[in-house]
Amino acid sequence: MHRIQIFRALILIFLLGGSVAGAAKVDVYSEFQKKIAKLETDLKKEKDITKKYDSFLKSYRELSDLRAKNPRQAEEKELNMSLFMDSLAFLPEKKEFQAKKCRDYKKEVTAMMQSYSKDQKEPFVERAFKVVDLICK
Amino acid sequence: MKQSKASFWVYTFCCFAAFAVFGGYSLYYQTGNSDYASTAEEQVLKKLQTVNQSLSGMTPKEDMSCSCQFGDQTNVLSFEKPSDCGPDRNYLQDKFQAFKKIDPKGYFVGGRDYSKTADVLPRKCALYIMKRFWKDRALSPEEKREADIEWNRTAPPSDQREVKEVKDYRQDPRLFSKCDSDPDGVPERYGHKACVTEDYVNLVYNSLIDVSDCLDVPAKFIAPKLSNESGLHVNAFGLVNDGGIGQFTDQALADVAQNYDNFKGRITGSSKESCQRLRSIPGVMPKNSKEILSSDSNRCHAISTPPNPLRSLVYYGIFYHSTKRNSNGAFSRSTDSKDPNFRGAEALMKEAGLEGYDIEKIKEMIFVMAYNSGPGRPAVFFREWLKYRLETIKKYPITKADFDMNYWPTGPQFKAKPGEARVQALGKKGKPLTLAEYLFAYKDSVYIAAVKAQARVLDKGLGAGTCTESKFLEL
Repeated sequence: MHRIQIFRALILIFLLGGSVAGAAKVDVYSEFQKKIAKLETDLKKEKDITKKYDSFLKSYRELSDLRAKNPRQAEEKELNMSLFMDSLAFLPEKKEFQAKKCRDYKKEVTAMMQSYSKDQKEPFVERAFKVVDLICK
Repeated sequence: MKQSKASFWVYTFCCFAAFAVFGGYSLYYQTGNSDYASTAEEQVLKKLQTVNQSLSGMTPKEDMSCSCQFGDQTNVLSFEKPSDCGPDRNYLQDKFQAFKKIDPKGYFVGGRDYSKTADVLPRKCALYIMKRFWKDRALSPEEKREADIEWNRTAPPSDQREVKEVKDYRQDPRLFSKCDSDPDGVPERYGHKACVTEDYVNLVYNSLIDVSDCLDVPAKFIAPKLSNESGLHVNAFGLVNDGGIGQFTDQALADVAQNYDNFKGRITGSSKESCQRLRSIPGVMPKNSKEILSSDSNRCHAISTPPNPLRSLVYYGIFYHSTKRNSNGAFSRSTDSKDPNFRGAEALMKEAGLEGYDIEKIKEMIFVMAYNSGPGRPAVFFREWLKYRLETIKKYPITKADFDMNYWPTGPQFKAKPGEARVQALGKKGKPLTLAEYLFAYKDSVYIAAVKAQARVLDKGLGAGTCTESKFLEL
């Protein structure tokens, strides 16, 4: 009886341990992309440009935290995520944001992040350009 | 004692006389065969030569020596003559005549005293780069087969080439262009290099030197890059519609247009003679940024001569400064007010123990890559490489070898798909990748290494530092 109880307890610990570890392990890259998709949807729905920018800033911070709180991912994934974040880093902070300057922001982001060589495609840079478009639309 | 004093003065006089006769002769008539004039002794000799020349008031003989072979000429550079090139390579001759009409004082189409600009960049650098670039003629599969047959007629049995079926030979890419039908239109692709005559080299060199002086662009810094891209040919036409001496794409021209109004004043408001000469040629300076035609369908705007190569080089000067400013800005960004987790390159370098490293040299590498990838991306790649290296920094501390750009992947490595497959192909057995390897493996880029390779070629052919900056792209 005693042995059976110990055995059950061990199985329980094993199962719980497994599920806790499973819960802790986040697929950062997948989450990152889900958050971008949600941001895109929110930006499409919202009409007010100031609210759009708030929504962007909130997501931007969440994306950063997601990466900061988790271990480094595979290199290609890290590069893609950084290209997205760095493209949008050229947008101003909340207090400096002015809707009328949106065209200039777009120019700045494009000038900094567009490659001079057309064969260098970066889908995450393109996605960042799309976010800028959605904010400024 | 008296006798020994007398013999000392006799000996001294003899030495002086011998130097005056033989030393002076050898300095004045130096053929310049010593390509690697870098020792202290050679530098002293060079200075003596300069003093000697200025005293004699004579124009020095231009040094055309090289460690090179073009046709049957060994270790000396010479201009091609129109009669040597045949009709298919003389297609720019009438353009030079047209240039002469808009440059009646011969600022660009005429010769100059090239000893005055030899320290900036010797004219032979332009000649060497132009002659060395790509091939004189693009060969068809039939011509390639014929060339192999011809080779085998005289080559020893050990050096015979395989003669294949015509279908098994590839047509050479056509990397030059003509803009005869519309000077602002679509370039017509062409396979043969324009004849590298003295007129042609002078036009390119005079333009390069004046833009370099007027816009403060270091000629020896950009020489390896231009050697890699266009070979200084006015009508170079790359495979992604990058055109002209500056190999401009639509995005690069759009950047020039965006910065033109800010930079224009540097030329129009300058009293420098070089700027005055640039201003004197019609078509070189657009009235405003709207006149800069960036679309692929207008690429002849940056190719057709006249007024190119001048216009394209003026654009290049603007491009150089704007890209450098933006690339350095992206590199130096230390904070992001929207992202408290952001860590800039310098903070990451500090964490990796790289405080003693020459940060300006690293910025230079990133800037060179920015010519190709745009100003913002290379700084991202560099930061990611640092973060990647920090993961294993205790076991594998970063050393100068991690920044070595004397790197070129092998054929099988090139064939592997960018990403983990390439890392496998690099066969590092768990050791971390150097910066050059990382850029190649994950971003499919060998651009910095390619420009560095051009600098090596120039150093080998014309002497270290003759056409390049000292320690170019190295720590």
